[in-house]
This record gives sequence, C-alpha cells and structure tokens, in this order.
Amino acid sequence: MVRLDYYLFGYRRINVEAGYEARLATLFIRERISAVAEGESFLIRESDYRRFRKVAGGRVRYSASDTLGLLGKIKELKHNIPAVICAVLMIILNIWLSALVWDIRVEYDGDLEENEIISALGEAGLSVGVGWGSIRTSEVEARLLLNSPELAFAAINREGTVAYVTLADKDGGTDAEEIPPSASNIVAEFDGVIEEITVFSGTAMVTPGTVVKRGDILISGISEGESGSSVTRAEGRVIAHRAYTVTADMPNRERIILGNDELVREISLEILGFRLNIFKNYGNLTDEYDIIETREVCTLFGVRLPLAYVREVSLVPVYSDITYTDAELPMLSQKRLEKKLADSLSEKDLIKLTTHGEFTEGGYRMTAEIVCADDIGREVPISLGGNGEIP
Amino acid sequence: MTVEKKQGVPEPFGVGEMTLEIKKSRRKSTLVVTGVIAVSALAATEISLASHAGRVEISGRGLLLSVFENGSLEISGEICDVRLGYGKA
Repeated sequence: MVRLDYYLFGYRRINVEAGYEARLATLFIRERISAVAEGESFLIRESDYRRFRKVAGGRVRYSASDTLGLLGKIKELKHNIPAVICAVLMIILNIWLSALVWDIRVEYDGDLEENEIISALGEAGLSVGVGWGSIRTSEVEARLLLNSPELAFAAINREGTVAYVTLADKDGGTDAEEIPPSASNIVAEFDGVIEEITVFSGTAMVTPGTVVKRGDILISGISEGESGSSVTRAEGRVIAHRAYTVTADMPNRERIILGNDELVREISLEILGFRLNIFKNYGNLTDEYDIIETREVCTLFGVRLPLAYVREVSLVPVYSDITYTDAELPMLSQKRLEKKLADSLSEKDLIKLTTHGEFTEGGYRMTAEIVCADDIGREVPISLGGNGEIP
Repeated sequence: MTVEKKQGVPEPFGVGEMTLEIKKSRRKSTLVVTGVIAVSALAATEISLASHAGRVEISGRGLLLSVFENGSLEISGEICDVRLGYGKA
C-alpha cells in the first residue's frame, strides 16, 4: 500500500536485482533517503530520486519506473491537453450550474393560485435561473410576506439546486372554533344512579336516586311554557354513581424489545448536490423501521465544501422472549392494573374499589370492581325528528 | 560561546546507541528502530539489522520495511520474534 504523501507528491519504483535488497536498504539509511520496501522493489519520493541517482550510480544496479502517483498522472496528462481542458471546463461548468436555482417546489395549501405564487416569489427575488449567491433567504421571505398580505408564514430551504418553499395563509392551519349547538339535550353517557343534578339551562328530567341507562335524557333542551314549547341549549352538571370493572392481563410469556440494531441501508457521497451511491443494502429492509440519516459535510479551513458523506441506517428492533414465574405474575399484573386505574379514575371520586386476581390459562388476570361518582352528562344536539340519542 | 540547537533536526546517534520502540495492535505490530547502520537481510519473513551496538533480527509474516529521512526504520507486519545480539556479524 502506497503512503499518501508518496501518492500525492509522486514516487518512483526502484527495482533491484534479487539479493541486493539489503544493500539498497543500507544505502537509503546512510543517505537518509525516505523509502518503503515492497517485495523486491523500493518506493522512493520523486523529490529524492535525483539524489538517489547520484549516490546509487555504480554502487547498485537498479531500474527505475516513471513517476507514479498523482504527480505521475498529471505528467501523463501533459500529452493530452484537449482532455485536460475539457475536464477543467466541465468542472467549472458543473460548479457554475450548481450555483443556480434549477427548480422551485412549493408546499402550500391556500387560496393563492400557482402563477400568483411564482410571480410573488419572482418579485421577492427567487426564480429559476437566479444564482444562489445573490439570494438571501431571510430577505426573500420577508419581502414575500410584505408583498403578499394573505400569507402568514414563508420559509425557503435549499437542497442542492432546488428551492423548497413552504407557505401558509393567515387563516390556514388554525382549527375552526367549535360552535356550540343552539339546541341540545344532556344525555347519560353511562348507566348509573343519579347523585346530584345542577341545571343552568333547560329542564331536569331526573332526580337524585333515579336509575338511568346509557342514552337517557337527563336535562332536556325542550321546555314547556304557558305560550307553548321552546327549544334551548341544555346546560348543567349531572353526577351519578356508576359501577364498572377494569381488568389487567399479564401473559406468562412476553416478547419485549431489548434495543435497536443499526443496519446500514445506504452510504453515499453528495458532490455538488448530486448524490453518488457507494453502498446500498438491497436486502429485506422495509420502511417500517425508523431510519436515521447522518450527513457529514466536509470543511476546509472552516469553509463548507460541496461534498458530504451521507449514511442511512435502519433501527431494527431486537426482541427477546421472557417467561415469568408464578411468583412474578401477580406483582406484574398488579402494576398493570394500577396504571389502568390511574388513567380510569382521573377526575372521578372513588367510592369503592375491590380487586381480585386469578391464574388463567395464559397467565394472570387482575380485576378491579369500581364504584365512583362521575359526571355522566353528555351534550347531544337536537335535530329534527331526533330525540337526543347518542349516535 | 553558546551553541544553538536547530529545531527539528535529529541529534546524531552516538556510537553504540540504539533504540527500539514497539507498538502492538491486535494483528499488526510496528517496530521503530533507530541507530541502524546497515540492513543485513531483507525479506518478508525476516529482517536483520546491524548497528554499532549489536544486531537485531526480526522474524514474522508480511514484514514491511520503511526508511525515514532521519535514518530511523519502521518495520510493520505480523512480528513474531525480535532477537538482539551482541556484535555486528
């Protein structure tokens, strides 16, 4: 393997007769000439070759190759000037062309037409054919927002020679405010026994102690008056005692994720915005795994070069099957149940909680029987012919 | 009179002075030898060096010899055995 400095600054291969290698090596040591032995030949730097010729003349019989390495290639190119000129012109042309905007891709879901956006971008200073050097994206974004009062947001990103523009309207992206229905009933969302009812608007249809079923009207929006019936929006709060059960099953065998293995999907070099693929894994890789892309941009004296090393890896989960003992199962099942109870009992007043567990065919099951006080009222709009049933 | 030392210029070795420094990794080892005056044998499996102090015989597999400008030698490859001997022969 040739040393990098030898390759860059040129080197020569010195072939010597068999049996004279040691003698030549001694000569290099005495004359302080840098050399690398490679089989029956030595590699020496081009810069040391003249000195070597002077000291080796007559002492050792040798044959030297032409200049090798990068310097040798350049010397070879001397004989092919048109090819060199073409290559240099191609490089210059490539650099120049990659410094222009070749395509604009707009992500926008609003009222403005495509031609309006293109002309607005052009007025702001971004159009196809403009040099990237003359574009200050922040200034273009500011000008775009100033010229187009409909827009609330503009972002321009460069990727190679393509400009990616993201726009949003002033009213875009915000959820429409939920309009409360003008006429509604409050119905029971669960079965239960009414504990307390507070009516702000509408007519109470139940009293404390009433047993209600899911869908029963609790506060009606239809009120009867002396001048006839009127429809209004029912408002109020209905607290009821309700009973339900929560179960948590713990299987005796479980598959868990131990971690992730990084599997290289693709390695590529990005030169002047063009991606050159070096390695690609065509194996059974699907997009169901998370993909991480790392990009290392080359810099020279702090200046970013148009050269980047891009590596894509898939995070493939590593599974492991675990079998639990009979002693572990109740404990783990209880933890699961506690988590479910914490979610289930949020914003409720717990009245009674009874838990019991049993071994099942596939593991262990813990059951919690809960009695709690909960707001069971749910507003349902009144529609023509409807009676306030839960859809 | 004061004598200024030039930076970067290696000091000449005294007669009989020789140093060996070995860096060993999993499969490849590197041996740097200074004070060598001659190479007695050079092959991929055996390299023999001579100095005023004595001789060094290195045996192994895929041995590669590099000579540096300061006269020191670097031998890399799978070094199996390094023998030191008294006398140049």
